[in-house]
Amino acid sequence: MILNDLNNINNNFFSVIIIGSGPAGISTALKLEELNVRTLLIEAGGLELDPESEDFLKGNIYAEDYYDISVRRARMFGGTSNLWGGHCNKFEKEQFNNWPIDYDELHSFEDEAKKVLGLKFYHTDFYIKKFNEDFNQYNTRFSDKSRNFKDVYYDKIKNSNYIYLSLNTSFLHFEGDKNNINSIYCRKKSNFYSLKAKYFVLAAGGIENSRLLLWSKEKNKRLFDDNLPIGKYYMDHPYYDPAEGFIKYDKVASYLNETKGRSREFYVDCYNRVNLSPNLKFRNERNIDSLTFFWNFNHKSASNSSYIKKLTCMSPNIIKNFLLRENIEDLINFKISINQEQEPEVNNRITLSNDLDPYGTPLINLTWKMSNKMKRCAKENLLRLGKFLVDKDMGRIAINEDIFSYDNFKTKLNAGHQMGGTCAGKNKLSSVVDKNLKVHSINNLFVTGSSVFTTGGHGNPTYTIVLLSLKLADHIKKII
Amino acid sequence: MTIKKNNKRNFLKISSVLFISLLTLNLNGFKIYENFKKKGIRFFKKNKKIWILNQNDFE
Repeated sequence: MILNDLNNINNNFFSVIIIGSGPAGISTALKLEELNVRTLLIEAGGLELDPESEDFLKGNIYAEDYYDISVRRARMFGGTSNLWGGHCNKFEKEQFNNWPIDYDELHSFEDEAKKVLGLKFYHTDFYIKKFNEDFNQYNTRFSDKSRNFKDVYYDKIKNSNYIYLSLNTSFLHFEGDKNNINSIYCRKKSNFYSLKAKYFVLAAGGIENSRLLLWSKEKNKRLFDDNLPIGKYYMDHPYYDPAEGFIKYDKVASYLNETKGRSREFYVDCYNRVNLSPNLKFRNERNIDSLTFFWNFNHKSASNSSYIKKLTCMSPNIIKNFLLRENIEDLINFKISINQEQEPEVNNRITLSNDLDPYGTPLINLTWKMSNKMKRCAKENLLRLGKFLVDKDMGRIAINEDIFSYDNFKTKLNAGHQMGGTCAGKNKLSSVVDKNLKVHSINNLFVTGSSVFTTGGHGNPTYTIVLLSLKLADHIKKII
Repeated sequence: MTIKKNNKRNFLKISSVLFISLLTLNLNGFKIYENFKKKGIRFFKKNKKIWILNQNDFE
């Protein structure tokens, strides 16, 4: 149901108020609807992206290489699903070791999450299998039509008897006494409202959750524990293209030993990629975190592409020798992209700026740095892959020189996966929410979305965001 | 009666047998030395790229 007016709403008419209508907020609302819980979903934006919304989303960035955060967030119904490419990845079990949430319990919601995300039925299900002694191979799944939650769920919510949607309604701050939220203070057009409910769910996005909590803490210092590390342990996935090269197609195909259709084909995802990540043994031996190699193959034979020219220009004598020995038709060029895990660090954080958005809420200062450990991780993995290709005589790799230098290391772009800031954990001093995503010491406030990630993993976060939101809705139903 | 081990003679026996075996294998086409050389990895820098190459890419 769409609410155009918030004037005549009775107190406690809603059991739950959800702030934010991105994948996290909508998934929570859909699950609560199934459980017959009356929910108000408030969204600061409308159905379309307003160019002026940038004024609410911008901030001061203190980082060497970082993107413009105002263009990688969306203040509109559907949230960042409007910008999303549809990639879904599953966390590995060992990457969940520091989470307070049980991996198997969370993944008991997998079937529902796949349905919400519309994962294509003809794709192979998530798998992780051994590629060699050092790397695992896993797949990425894709949401149908790169699922845009606005297109898929607006009509469903409009016709729902349990979900009430109020667009263009900006959350300003929480109101309440110690340990309890009584209401939210919000603005719709030029009117202000205090809306009450039993439970409140903050699902406004990876950065916005921290901003709104920090501002609520500032407005009402008695409400939150002083020590809650709101905004700290912010993470992203550095994403960059550090290497290219070529493989002998038949050799790689026979190594992967997975034929599909024509005899020379091996399994790749729908972007012609083989996805590799270092296994736990490799990571522990080198004290590094995880990453993904997206091994992108150009399936045109090398002789038909301009790549041979490029190759011979890059390294004329040596490559010429190699090409003369090999069947050129069998060579395929590739590019490697990396999506890298970032260890949670207390200095990577969101704080409130002195600059204000048009409604008077402070914008953010974002401090973000890539550690030397992360830079070493990329180098170690690329060297290992390069040596593997030589050992098996499968191909050759050329790594960008920048990767070998801590000072000149350049990521050029990031994946835009804003995570952390309201991390889940057992300890109040190092986390903001507990295993049920409830804010420590507050009885009726929950947070969901990528901001609660304890660790970032190396995969795309949306699948885990939806799992967390479904689990949260299930928990709220139990305690309501 | 005690048997004294002659370590020096044993070493000569074993090492000469091993050497002759390796030499024979090598001469008969197994090319142990060449195969060992092939496994060698070399780095080659060109145009801000560092190639990871095989030793025999240079021959």
